[in-house]
Amino acid sequence: MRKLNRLWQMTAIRLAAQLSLGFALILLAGWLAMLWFVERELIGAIDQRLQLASETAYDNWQAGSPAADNTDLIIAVQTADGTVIGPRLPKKLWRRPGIQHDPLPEHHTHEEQRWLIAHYGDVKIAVGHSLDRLDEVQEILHSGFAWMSGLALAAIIALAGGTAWRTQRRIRRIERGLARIARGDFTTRLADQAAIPDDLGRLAERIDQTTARTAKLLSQIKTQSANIAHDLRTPLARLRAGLEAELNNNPSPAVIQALEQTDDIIETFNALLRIAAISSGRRRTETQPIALATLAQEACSIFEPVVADAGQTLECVPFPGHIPDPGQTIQGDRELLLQLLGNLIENARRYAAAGGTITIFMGTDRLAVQDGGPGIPKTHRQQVLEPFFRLDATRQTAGTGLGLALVQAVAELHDAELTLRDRPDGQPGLFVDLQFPSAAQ
Amino acid sequence: MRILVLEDDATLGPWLEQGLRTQGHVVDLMTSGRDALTAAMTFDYDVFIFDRMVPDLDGLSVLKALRQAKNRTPALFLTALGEVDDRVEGLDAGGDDYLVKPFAFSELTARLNALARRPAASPAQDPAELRVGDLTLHLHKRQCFRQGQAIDLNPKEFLLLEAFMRAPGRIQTKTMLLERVWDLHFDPTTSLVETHISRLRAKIEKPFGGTLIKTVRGAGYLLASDD
Repeated sequence: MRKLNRLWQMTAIRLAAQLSLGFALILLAGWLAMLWFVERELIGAIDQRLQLASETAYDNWQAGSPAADNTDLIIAVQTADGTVIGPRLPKKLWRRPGIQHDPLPEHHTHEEQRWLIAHYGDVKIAVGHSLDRLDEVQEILHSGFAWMSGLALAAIIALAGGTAWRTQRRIRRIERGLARIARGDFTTRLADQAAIPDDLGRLAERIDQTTARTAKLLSQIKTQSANIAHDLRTPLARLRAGLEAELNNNPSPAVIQALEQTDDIIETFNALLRIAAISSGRRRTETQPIALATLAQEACSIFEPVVADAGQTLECVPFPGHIPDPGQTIQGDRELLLQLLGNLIENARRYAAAGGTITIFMGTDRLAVQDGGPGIPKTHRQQVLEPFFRLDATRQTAGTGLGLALVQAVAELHDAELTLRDRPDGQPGLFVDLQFPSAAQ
Repeated sequence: MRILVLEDDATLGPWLEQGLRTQGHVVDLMTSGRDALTAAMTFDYDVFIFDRMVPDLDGLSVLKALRQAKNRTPALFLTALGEVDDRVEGLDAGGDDYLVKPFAFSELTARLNALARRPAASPAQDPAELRVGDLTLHLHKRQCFRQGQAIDLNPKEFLLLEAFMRAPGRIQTKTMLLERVWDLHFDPTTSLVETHISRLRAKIEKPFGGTLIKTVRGAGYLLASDD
């Protein structure tokens, strides 16, 4: 059912199915119309014959000659005294003039007859015509139509289905390419070598042009930010150098404060540049196979003393009911992942109460950091991942406001999904969940 | 020390020159790569400080040319780029250390001292044990003794103490320790180094009294040497 549903969601396939269905309906309607038309024409011809035969029979009867027996017509005459010349017909048939349908009981056949009852004064003449031929014609039409429509329907389904499938494959190609572009691979090109340049081909070309343009702009921006970085680093270095020299001559509180503030600026500046560099994928070259559990344990051993000094506990445990496989690795940047965990631990340490426990859960392709702090309201969970966003209650706490933004950038670089949740055990606190792409992919 | 500085910035160059002279070094300041190359080929220096981005010949190319000419003088790169790839490039070109602008002067001098006195020896001649005062560190057995008493150190504390004992009396800055002990080339914005130093002190100083690891305000830490 789900597969059918997925099939229905493919535009080309759906269009083909709709088209085939529409075609079948039109065939059916055409067939009904044709049947109706053929029947009307044949009946019209029969009626004309009946009329003619009736008049001839009356003329003959008046002339005194008996009703001539016709091969395919049955003629009966009822005289004024009620005597019937010719085959006997049911009484009710004689009563009403005009066209009537009725089988002829005496002939013991099941075939239907069409009767024309004409009243010429007190003489009544009935002329009957077998409807056999009509049935035959209809039967021929039926089987002829069944064959034709069956073949036509099969042909249209094959044709539409084939075209739809090819189109769907091209759409899938474009879709997959776009997914690669969305992941930041701007070298992806979608245009295919279709024999006839059609709208899909043009669409792909347009997307290619857009991608190429975006890639160019991005590289320009990258170059520019490298230049800006360079152009700012040198003056910042000058500023810091000047303040440092001044500190040696005149170690006044004002100079110390200025130096500290300069260092704050530099720290924020470095963090921003770092996030920018990670987001632009410049660090891709540094990846190596990493076992997440081993990494988590390294992070624990590095940061445990810092957490312990703050009166809190840092523990590193496997996810409940899960034993991480140390043989399974992900492709990652060890230093960035350590910084990611460091930032999460630092965040937890900063916002969690004294005496609390910070837990790192390790899995084969999943990591989570859990704290017992106040947590983050659902409405802010997306915003806290953006640079400089801070919850009001924490505004007073030190930090650049870039910690989680960097975590997000590192997660994105590793194609990992970062989710902030409530603690699974229902306790107050934040649960930062990192799902890495599984090794199979 | 005799130091060759290649820095084209009109403020930073003279500041470096002045600062290093104040510390008693002999400094030649060059503002173009060609001049620096000529000077380096002509005179003997104890250490080079090269800015990576200067007009004409950049610092990277100058050092590459020097290394090809078998010049092994230790070199430190200054850079405004600061990306990992750039650091790796600098080290690949024969650089020995790397400092991203803006930096503290104390950081520069600490790194210069470490560079200039770096033994040219191969790791094969690495000592099996280090001795400073009454402290002994067995590098292979991973043991630490003070006044004959064994001290239990965890791996990071051991590496930390080793970094100090390899260069007694010389300042180790926070970033140098992060690189050497934790292999981290970023500031984890936690009091990582401070915490480990205080734990190390609690183990090697507290039971014996006296200060071995000194804090140099605004610069870093150093292990008090015998002399």
